[in-house]
Amino acid sequence: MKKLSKFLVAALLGLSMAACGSSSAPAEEPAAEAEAPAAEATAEAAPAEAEAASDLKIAYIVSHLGDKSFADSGERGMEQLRKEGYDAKTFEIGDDASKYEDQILDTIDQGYNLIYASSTYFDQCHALAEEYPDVKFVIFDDNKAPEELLDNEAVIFYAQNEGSYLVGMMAAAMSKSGSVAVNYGMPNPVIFDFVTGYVNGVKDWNEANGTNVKVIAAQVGSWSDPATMKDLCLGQARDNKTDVFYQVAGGSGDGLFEACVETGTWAIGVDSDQYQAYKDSENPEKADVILTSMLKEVGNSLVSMTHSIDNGEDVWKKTTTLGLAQDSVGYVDNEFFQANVPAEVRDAMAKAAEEVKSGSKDVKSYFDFASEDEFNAYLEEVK
Amino acid sequence: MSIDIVAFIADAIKMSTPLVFAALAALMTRQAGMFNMGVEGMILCSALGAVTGAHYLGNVWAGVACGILTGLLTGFVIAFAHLSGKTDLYLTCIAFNLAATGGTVFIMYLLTGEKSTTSGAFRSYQIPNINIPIIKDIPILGRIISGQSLLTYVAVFCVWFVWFLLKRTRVGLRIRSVGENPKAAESVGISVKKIGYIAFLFCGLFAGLSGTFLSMSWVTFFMKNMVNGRGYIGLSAQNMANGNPVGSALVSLLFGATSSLSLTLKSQSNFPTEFLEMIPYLATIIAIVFTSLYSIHRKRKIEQGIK
Repeated sequence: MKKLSKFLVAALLGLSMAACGSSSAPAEEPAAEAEAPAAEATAEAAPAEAEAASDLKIAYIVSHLGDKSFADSGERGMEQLRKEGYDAKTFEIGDDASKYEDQILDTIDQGYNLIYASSTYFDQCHALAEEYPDVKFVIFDDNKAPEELLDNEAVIFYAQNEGSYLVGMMAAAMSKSGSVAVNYGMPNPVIFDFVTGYVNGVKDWNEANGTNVKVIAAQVGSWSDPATMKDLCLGQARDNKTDVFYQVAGGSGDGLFEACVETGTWAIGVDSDQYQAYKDSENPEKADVILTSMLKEVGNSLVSMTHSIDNGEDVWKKTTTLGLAQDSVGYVDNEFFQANVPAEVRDAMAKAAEEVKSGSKDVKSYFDFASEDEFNAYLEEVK
Repeated sequence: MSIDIVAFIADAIKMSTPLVFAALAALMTRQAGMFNMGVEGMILCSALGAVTGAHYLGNVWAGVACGILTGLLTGFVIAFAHLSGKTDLYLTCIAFNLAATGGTVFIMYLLTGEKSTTSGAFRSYQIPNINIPIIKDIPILGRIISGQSLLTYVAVFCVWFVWFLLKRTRVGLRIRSVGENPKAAESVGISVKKIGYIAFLFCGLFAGLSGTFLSMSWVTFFMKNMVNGRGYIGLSAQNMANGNPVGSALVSLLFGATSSLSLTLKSQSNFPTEFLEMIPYLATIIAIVFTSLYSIHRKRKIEQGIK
């Protein structure tokens, strides 16, 4: 009994600490608040935009900034919007799912009427959208059918399969051993869409060039376990002689780059230009394994979405797909890429990109599969 | 596809190293009668302390020293709260672990402006791997024993050291007697508080080495939450071995081997990933059942002997 009460107290203490932690999160944003008057000032300088911005108050919901990829890309979009005179504020609401809804509700109470949140927060936003029909919700990085959505909800979907397709082609072309890998953090439909596109790219390269490159797709089990990721890659390099690695694993991906440095293999980054990020860092030598990065321009998409909403375009109750054609996904074409990837491979990638843009080539998507089994069978073909 | 068994074993030893240190850390306080759940947080703090020290002082060994120092410091914080402040140890450890999760990110943010990892902001330093002369040329054994991280050899030494300390020295005897019966120990003039601090000192040392291994040998940067439960695994490893240092190391090795197995199978087999991620824990449950059945069996034999 005594022990039980001890644990109850412990649990309460834990909860209260967590509560303190998260309620202070929005308060941590004095910078954003301080920027608001500044933003107004620039808005006055440009009266046309000030008018446009007058009725939209934008809240960007994110667990934490500082991931150097997905969340930060969205934040760059917010910065752009602030520059244009919009009232846009970022809310870091932490990782406790039980508090998401309350915290998003908080932002609505503060008068924010356009909520940007990633697919992680779909359920909470959906519940609130029903309750607050005047508030608009834009969920990005998700894929929903119109009948699943309300009139004040819009969904942005990134065709990560298209970008992954191109880097998949490159991986197959660059592999000398005939084995490439895609290692991901946790399983979810968006991540599987990356994997599907990558596998499709390798397959098409095999078909076009008569090669037989195999793909390993493996899961780390966490977004922040670089140690496990590193060992996973070292094992693949050892047992399968894998020599091109594609990371779709958030923070765990840093472990993949270290494994590539250690084994002298190639890496492909994700979401933002990870070659540049490392080149500008304290460890520039780690950049020299990253051939290219698959880009996902979250920030740009939020800016263009805001403009569409302001112009009164009908984006509601449907999913807007942004892919290669909208420049929302792509790959980094820098000097390192040009120096290390042969010209014919680069040309093939550019040509495939054009074909996807014009619609003459259709890249396989995870959302095309009728069932999980079909997806697994697809992976099996090149395993 | 072919699994390189020798490399697999070498890998398992590497993966076990932080667990062995974690187990030894928990073992030291357990021997003094304190169940220290704070090991997890102590390792996390030490991992950050190590890379911070290495970056600012520009030296691998300074990093190792800072990692150990952070371990000692965090050990002292828990010890002070529990032994001098008379707080409940469970509550202190839970609070400490929660504080460490947020606190490490906060300190990293203060130092670097990053909230996720120091991989860009801090220069990476790696503790060297050691190639042992002669042994490295022995066909199979050489690849397993030689070429490991320096800290892995330190871990092996520490297992022996802890055994020696507990069984062969006066301090060890006192630690064990305080753990067995603090009142009796006090009645013969042993200061329970002082012994508690000494136990936490060793605990901090090993936790520090565990964190240093994670952030300066396995990978070469700090990332939020990078310990991922390895402290708790070490804690349960020494629990399964009943506080025996060699047994704890062997159980840690079992964890390391099963984790390595599940990783290898992820790339090599078609088993569902969810099942593979279960392997280390499934192996633990099975091992616990067997060890407890064995001890029941032994007890019964002793009782029968008495009759």
